[in-house]
Amino acid sequence: MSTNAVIELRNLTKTYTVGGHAFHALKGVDIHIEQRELVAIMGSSGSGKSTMLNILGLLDRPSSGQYHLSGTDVSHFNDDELADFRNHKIGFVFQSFFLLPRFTALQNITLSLSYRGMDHSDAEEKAHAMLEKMGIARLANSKPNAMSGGQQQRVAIARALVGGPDLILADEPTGALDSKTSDAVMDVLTHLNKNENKTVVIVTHDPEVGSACDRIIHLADGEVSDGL
Amino acid sequence: MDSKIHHVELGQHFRDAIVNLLSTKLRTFLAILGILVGAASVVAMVSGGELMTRQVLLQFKSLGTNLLAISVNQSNSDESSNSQKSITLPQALAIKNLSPNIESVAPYVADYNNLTYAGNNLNGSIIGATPVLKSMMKLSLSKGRFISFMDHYSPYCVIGDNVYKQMLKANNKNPMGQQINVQGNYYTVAGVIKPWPSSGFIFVDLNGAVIIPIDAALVTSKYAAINNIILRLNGNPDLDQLQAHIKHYFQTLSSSYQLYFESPKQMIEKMKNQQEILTLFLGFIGAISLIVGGIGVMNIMLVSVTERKREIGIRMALGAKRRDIRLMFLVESTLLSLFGGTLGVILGVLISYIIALVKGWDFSLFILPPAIGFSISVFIGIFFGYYPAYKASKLDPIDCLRYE
Repeated sequence: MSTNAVIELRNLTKTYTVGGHAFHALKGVDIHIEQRELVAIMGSSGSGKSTMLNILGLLDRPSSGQYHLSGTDVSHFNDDELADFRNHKIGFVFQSFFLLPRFTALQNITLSLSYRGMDHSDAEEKAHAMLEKMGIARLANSKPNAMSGGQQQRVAIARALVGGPDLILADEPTGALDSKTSDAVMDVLTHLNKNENKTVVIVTHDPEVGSACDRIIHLADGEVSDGL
Repeated sequence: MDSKIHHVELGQHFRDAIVNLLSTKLRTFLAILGILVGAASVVAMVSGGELMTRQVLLQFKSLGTNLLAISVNQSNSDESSNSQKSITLPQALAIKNLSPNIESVAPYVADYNNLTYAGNNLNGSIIGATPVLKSMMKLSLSKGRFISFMDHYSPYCVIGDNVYKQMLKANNKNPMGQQINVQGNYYTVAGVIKPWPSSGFIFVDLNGAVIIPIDAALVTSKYAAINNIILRLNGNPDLDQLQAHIKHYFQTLSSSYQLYFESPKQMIEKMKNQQEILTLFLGFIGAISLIVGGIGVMNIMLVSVTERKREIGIRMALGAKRRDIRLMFLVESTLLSLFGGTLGVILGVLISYIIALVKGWDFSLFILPPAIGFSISVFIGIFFGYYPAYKASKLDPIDCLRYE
């Protein structure tokens, strides 16, 4: 087994109990994602795609099996440990940006740094540098509702990156954008992968997004399928 | 990754809270209204009560609290026997012998006769007094002398400041040595009393008084009688016992005497009791409005938690721990009530200032009531903010992120 694996899932299951009935969302999944990979996880609704995203993103715990993130078994982490790991290891990029509307771009980006106890001025400095890097420094003091969709997504990506995560986890990153902006956002994500050596995992149902990735993992009915 | 679990620095929570509170100004204002009223009433009542107590004590401070006033009434309405039965001066002065605790005795006659001077009516009253009244009431003279034991029936008078001013206004002459007409008797002004702070203890207004020798007063009018005696006490006598003793003495003189006692100590006691009841009552109102205010804060915070479910989810995804979320809302509710408390304290101080102004009391700023109002507000904010904050921290990040 490679020590370079960012994500290592072994026989991972997730079972929900809904109204007294057990529902098996994931039925023993094995996934291995190396550093610097650009991977799409695809599947129709009900395939277990969302559950997979939640578990990969440390927002939920598996029912059984193991999840190693950057070499650490996180399967039995408590809430605080999960939160800390989310903060340090994962950068989320959400479908509808999920920027806090009352906060400026800069404040949105410093947020994730503040959760690791970083000094406010240090955090602002880092956030500024990140905005600069993303080419949107002039938006630092703008609020999300004054930005275009593409600009918001760039701020969201800046927020995901600022903490220096091992894994960029994107949930339908282009779902809320027109095709032109979608392409631009995908360019940013692939750029991060190729030039910044980030491991990027994109959960999507969009085949076009999938085709832009190095590898596609298909989920169907809670299991990894061998593709179409 | 180091093993230490990180938390947000508190300053960040305050920055976040201010952003959030400012973005919903109207709601923020409505939420703090209850706390504001509560804190204001607590501060106003405690300050007001304290000001009142000080004012009462101030009134007695000049006179001292070791006084006892006796007013004597006769239950017999038969007028012809009145003058015969009224207390004689020697009888009144003999009270001094009843107890070693009685230091001095000042009987006086209050009579409301017409006073005229240089053809003008004077607004004032006649008081027949002994020289002891001066030391008893701590009077000091701006001009001339007080009445003396030598005066007996001599037509001299000492006037209060108000009377002095009226006389001065009447003919622009120095009132000293001038004569005041009291129903045909002329009294020469021998002295003027300095302005005298009025007191709740003695009912006559010495500033508006024309003080004449008590012997003279008793013969001026057939209705004049020694109806008031003021005692200065020493030591710390049992007032009830002393009063019973004095009552007994008057009973032996005539069964028709009815005595009423008044002492600063008892009056202060009474006022303090009244104030305590008032304080308790207002405190109750203050407490109720603070609780209502607290519930208001809780309500607003609960609404805020529901509205900001998405935000909570995002923050959790970014690495907020349950403690961070809890603290975030707690800081917000505390800030909310701190804000309300501060405004309330200011309003409360203002109200107590206005009360003092209207009542003519001296105003002073007390530290304790604002401190109490302030800390109660903060406590309310934390107490009533805890549940919403706790609720927010227990939310599932996945549910929150899905929340529309």
